[in-house]
Amino acid sequence: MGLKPVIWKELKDLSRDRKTILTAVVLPAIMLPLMAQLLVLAQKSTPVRVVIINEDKGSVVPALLLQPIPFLQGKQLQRVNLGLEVAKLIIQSVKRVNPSVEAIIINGTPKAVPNYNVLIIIPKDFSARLLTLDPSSFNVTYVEVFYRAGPSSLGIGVTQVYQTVITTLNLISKQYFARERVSILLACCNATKVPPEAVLSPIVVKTQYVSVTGKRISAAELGKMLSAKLLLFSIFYVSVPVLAFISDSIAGEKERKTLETLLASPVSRRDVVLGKFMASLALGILAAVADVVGLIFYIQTINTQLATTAVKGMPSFTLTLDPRIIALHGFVMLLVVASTAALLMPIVSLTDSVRSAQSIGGFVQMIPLLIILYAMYSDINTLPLSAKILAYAIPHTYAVLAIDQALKGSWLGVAESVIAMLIITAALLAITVKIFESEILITGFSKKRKTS
Amino acid sequence: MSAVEVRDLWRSFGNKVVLKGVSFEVDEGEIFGLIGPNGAGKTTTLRIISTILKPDKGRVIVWGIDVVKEPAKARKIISYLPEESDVYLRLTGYENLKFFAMLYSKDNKEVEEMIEEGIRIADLGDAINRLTKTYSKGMRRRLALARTLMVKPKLAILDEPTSGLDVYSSINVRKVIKEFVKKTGSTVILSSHNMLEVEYLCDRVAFIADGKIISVGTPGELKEAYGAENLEEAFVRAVKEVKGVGA
Repeated sequence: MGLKPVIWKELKDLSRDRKTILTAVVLPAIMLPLMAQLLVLAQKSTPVRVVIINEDKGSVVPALLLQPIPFLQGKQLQRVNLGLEVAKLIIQSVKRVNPSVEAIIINGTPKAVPNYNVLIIIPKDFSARLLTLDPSSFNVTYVEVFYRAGPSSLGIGVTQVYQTVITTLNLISKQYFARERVSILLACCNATKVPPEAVLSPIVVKTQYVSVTGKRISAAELGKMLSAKLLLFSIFYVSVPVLAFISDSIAGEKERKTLETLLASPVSRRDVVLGKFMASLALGILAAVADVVGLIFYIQTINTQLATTAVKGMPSFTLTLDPRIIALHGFVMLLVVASTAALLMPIVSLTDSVRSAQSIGGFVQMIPLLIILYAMYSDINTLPLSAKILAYAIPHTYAVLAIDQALKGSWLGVAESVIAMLIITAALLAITVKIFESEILITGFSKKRKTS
Repeated sequence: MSAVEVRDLWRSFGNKVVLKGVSFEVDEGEIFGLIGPNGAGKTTTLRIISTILKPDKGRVIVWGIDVVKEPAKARKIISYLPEESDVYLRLTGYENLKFFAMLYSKDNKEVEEMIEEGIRIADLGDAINRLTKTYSKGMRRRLALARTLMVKPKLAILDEPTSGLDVYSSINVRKVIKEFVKKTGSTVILSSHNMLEVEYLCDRVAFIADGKIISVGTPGELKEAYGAENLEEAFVRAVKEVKGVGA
């Protein structure tokens, strides 16, 4: 009997360590969904008040002129208040983004402006300036939009409504009135066959996303890739409880002076190290599963409850739940936990107390986080040589590379990364066994440790 | 052949030489006491015998096994209770015993026998099934002692087994050690600052000061040698003779 009793003891101990279990399982499972809910709440529950002051006096225009403008179609020769129509359109747009928005239109110039988060002032000559048929009278008209700054107004909800107002006004300006004016000007030049777009946008930019293999991909597929990158943050999440466990399991045994008894027993040092490592894997499995569950809820909440586009029809990226990526993520997270434990074990073995183990271990954990952050924005291979050497010595790097390789569809690349990760993990475990077999574990680096 | 032979042990930590040629022998079935002031080298000596530390020079033979050359083999016949060693607080008393029984035994039958012996030695009643974090210090020490002795080691090494315990708990621990040796015939090396305890428990005693053994003998022999009425007085005189310092 060697390894089995150590695993048994560590698992018993772990199962009663509520704080570590809480950190490992409950937090990853609820933190991300909670974050998503908070984002939704921040957007939807923040009371946003939009006030539109429409000072527009209107203008008499023939129905023919109104036909090309979708939201004015059907209007007959009469006094048209364009400001009011635009105000209604703005309210429609902001209500789509945030149904709880309180929006009011005040026609004319009020004596006092009511309380607002976003204020829009449509000028008196709005209709007259925009609905003129005489090219020599073409001019710009100014709509003022006020964003009330202040702690209570800096919420995501107000910002989104403000942006929606701006986007809607720009859309109306470019798609309807600019086109209309260009058509009139082209007619003056007898160039009726020239499409207005040829004047408005002589250069059209056509975008296309392609994968690293050169294959064309859709925005949805790009969203999938971005989602996979987002998942890299989980590497840090699942690593945190490992530090708590390893610190208690090694430095805690030193503190409680149970380690000497264990080391003097017939169990081999290798079995002591492996037993603690295997128990950390059990913790890792729980953490990885909890993390995946949390992520699924997070992505679902973000995609279904959080408005990501201001105006209907505008392109946007959404986070995507791809079962293969989620499965790979779970597997890689398990490997991450294993390599985190292996990375921390030799370091923690050299500390004298749980407190110092957690301090130094916390610092060491920051190194993989830096790699993850870099990988979020760039390719690890683009690092300077010295940084690249350091990065490739850390097993977590291969977790990032494995996910990258999976996105490229290179399963051989995934296997290579996983094997590299396992080799480094094994090497780190071998170092820990060496430390356990040496006196440093008891005496520390300061060999002047007091003995009686 | 002696059960334990400690020959010319030297050990330093950095520039400080802690052991300066410690030598003594322990006979089979004997309770041997190692007595000395703080910093004399007691714990270092016991750690070397229990394979936790290695000497810079010298050797320790336990039943013919060189503990430096064959530590794995030596650990099978040695059981060590370090000074102030605690128990696993998130395990019950029973589980603590089971863990060490599993480490020392070959099969489940042996595990059960060891646990049974451990429960008897610990004598904690129903508390044996409670988490040890609910135990008093005395209960935890009894459990630690039970964990050390239940495996019936050929050599039990006890570093200040009653350190920090109240009078009643100390009496109980001493009783357990005495009964254990009587029942099993095992050999015990213990260190202590309590001269009454040493006099009550030990067949022979070694005085250690400044990393050197200064005197070895039965409590009676030592008292006679230093013309003292009790062991404490003998110890103080012995240390004064060598170092000119009090204990």
